[in-house]
Amino acid sequence: MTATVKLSANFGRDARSDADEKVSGRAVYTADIAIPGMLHAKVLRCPHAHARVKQIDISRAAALAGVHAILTRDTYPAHILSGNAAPLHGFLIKDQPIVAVDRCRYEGDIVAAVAADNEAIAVQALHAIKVEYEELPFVGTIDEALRPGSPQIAPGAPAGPQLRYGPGARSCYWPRPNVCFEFHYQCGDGDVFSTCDHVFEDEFGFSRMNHFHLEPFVSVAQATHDRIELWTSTQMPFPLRGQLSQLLKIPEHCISIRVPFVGGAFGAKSGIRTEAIAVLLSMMSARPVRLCYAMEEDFLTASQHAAVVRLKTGVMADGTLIARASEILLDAGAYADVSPLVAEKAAYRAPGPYRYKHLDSRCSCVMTNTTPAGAFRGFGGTQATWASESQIDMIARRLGIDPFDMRMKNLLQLGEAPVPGEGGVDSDLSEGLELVAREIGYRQNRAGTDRGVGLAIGFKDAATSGEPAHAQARVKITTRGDILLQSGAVEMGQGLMTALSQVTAEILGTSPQRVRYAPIDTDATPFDRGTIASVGVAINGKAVEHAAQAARSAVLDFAANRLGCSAEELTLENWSIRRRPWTRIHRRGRSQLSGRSGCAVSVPMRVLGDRLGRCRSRSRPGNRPLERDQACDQRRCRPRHQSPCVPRPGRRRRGNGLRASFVRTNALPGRPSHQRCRARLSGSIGGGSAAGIHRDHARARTRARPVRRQGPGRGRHAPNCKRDRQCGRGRRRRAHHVASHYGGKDFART
Amino acid sequence: VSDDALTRDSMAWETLELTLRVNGKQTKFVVPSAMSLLELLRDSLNLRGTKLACSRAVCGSCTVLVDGQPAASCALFAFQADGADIVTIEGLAGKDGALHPVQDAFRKFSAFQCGYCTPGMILLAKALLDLDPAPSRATVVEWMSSGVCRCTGYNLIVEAVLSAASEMRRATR
Repeated sequence: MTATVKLSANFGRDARSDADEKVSGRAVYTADIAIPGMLHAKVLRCPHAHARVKQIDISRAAALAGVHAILTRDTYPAHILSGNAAPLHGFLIKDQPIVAVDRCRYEGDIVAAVAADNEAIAVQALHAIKVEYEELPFVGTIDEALRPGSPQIAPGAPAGPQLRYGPGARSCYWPRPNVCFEFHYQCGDGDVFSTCDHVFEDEFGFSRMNHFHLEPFVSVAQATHDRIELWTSTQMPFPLRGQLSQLLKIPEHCISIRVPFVGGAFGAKSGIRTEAIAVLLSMMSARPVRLCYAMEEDFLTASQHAAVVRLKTGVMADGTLIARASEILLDAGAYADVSPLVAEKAAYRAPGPYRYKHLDSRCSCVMTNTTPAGAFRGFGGTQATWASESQIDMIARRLGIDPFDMRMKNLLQLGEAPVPGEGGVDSDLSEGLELVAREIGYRQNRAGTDRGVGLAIGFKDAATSGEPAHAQARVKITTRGDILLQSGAVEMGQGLMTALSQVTAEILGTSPQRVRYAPIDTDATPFDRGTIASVGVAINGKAVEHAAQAARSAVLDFAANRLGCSAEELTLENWSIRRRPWTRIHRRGRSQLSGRSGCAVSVPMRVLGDRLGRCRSRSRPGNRPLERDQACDQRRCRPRHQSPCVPRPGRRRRGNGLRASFVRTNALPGRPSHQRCRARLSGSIGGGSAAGIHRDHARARTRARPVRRQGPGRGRHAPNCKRDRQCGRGRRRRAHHVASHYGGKDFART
Repeated sequence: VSDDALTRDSMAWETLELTLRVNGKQTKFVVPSAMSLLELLRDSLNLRGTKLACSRAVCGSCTVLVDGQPAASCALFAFQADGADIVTIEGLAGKDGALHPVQDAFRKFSAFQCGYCTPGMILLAKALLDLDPAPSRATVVEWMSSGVCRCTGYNLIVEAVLSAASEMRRATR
């Protein structure tokens, strides 16, 4: 199976395989899908932060010409109710209704949805719906939510499934009011803090961002009597199918999800967004229904987690890190969504890529009456990394050490485990950091210039927590020798279909142009866990490699059989079969396919193809295939782990982003005018972690939030401190300030 | 939903007659007065290469050329373009299907990721190069900044526009 493949000279140099479609405007996104007879839906959103829904009157709206279906808590199709209870969705904690049941929990919570002939009529119908609210006291921030006696947002909300972890890690649901999940990890002896020369405690406030994917949340659903066809803009077609099946009580094999091009997702499109409403309205109206949110509604649907990160870090006078206790509070918004998983990652990533004797990370998801927070590239790592790397800089300055030297002193070495029981780090971070520093001229004297430089390291465990990452792929060779590649990995801009086509082409010895990446349809596409957590090339790529190798073997076996030789004598090159010692096999006719050496028989792929059928392979890195539905064997020998901290030596892939930013500070006050970054990425691509760091520096000057600090820190300034604003008034002082934060004293004095 | 929207919607049924030249083809339309140019292009003419994103003239995804000038078609009523010459991404390629030099440069430089902003970006770039065949990098950066690429592929976009500019100059020389 493991053929050594020599990469062709133009590997990675061809135009992307989606280039022609995208530059010509022919690329089809879900937003472009239209079906004959299609209705258009709009949703009614609650105007209050927290309110009880007393009564919903739809009679006037229902009487409007052109209105075909109205979904409210009172009009749910009977078959999806369990008892009288409306169905709820969410990743672990199922707490979010499709439309509000007893109360609305944030401004923008969905109360009703209408399907009409066009959007204008749907909007008119929304105006005609009368909702009686009773306003309730609300909590808008983490602090308010945690204050004793503050209103509870989700009393009686369910817990999720119990999660199992490795040593040192544990979690619980609803540990205290308005906290839906708490994750805690500990290793080493907490007493080491008393042996440290300095203990620094800093607090970092992190505002939320929106994904701002340009293509809105959109789906088109067509429900017929026993079948649901759904076109949707999602990163996770298969998990979505499962969630919809559970939510709407429809068997999975009756739901077919198709994913055209996705116009940006960044984590936002990884759960139920427009899909459930579109499907229900389609079921109710017996017509295809399109639900497309406006940009404002996208902002009301999902966001990143705002956070408060408190770091307590013990160091020796020479800068050696000894211990770190992190407390992270994530603002989960009104519904839990993926917050528990984000909490695990945030806590896990808080220490960064450094060596400690003791770690204590705690992360809580705090419910507030704000837009639900969900997956956002970086997935908790952004918040944690920003705080962690900022504090490393701050500590270095307080100790009078260069931030670069401080990092070099403490970086994990190649093969060293970040926490006991983990697999070792798979890239040489020190070498990478040195390279970055050299590339940006870190040591250059920038005195008198308007530039500062800074370093930061993103450290990310890619490929999801929970069940081991796995993917499947199928490579089909058609009767005429064209290649169809099927994988559930969603192309949303990252170039995955190009990369996977290249992998296939290289192994089959042909050009990527001959490979077509098949459109995703859950009925036909091999199972996939979702295009998330930087898995694309690392995990899906491996599955594609195995599938292509299986196809290659099938081609060669078939040819060998026809030629009467052994497969070892044959090879694939330029999409034709050659026989060692590289005799070209010419063709005279199909009937003459015999194996006699020297025989002039060509074996064009189109002759072979019809006999090949399909080849299929599934893969996880370094282990046997596993699909969720077939997980019984696997479960017998290994319990289901959910932990990012579970010791699974050698199993975790990491994406490390070493990144430096130049920030010129003399343009608009408070806004970086220009950034130029060079990064060295090793391991798998840690897009999210790199983005986190990028943001780190961009943000440093754009937000101001006071940092409370105890401990022996000197009066220097945090990236987001108030003096930043003050000294931002004068160009020179501003540059000084930024330089002192980012450059360190060695080179950036102004 | 604001009251403005309601007013707009009740006005939506008033119809107007207008004539547009879209991608070189003169066509008469009868449209609701509240219809945007974007809706006309996408829904009536099925020119779905023009993308809807913010519907507030902020992001530039819906950019088309109205008499050679880039315009946000989401924030333009269809009747405002009465009599105008509209070019969309579909009208950029030559009759033989050959890509416009800007399209070709975007293709070569992979100056796109998810591709949702790309049609708008390409038309924006074309408008620039029609005005200024030899723009400086700073001009390109400033001009192209009226389009949002949320995947943040800006560097390659700037490279592609500069390369298209020199390609077009070479072709006309």
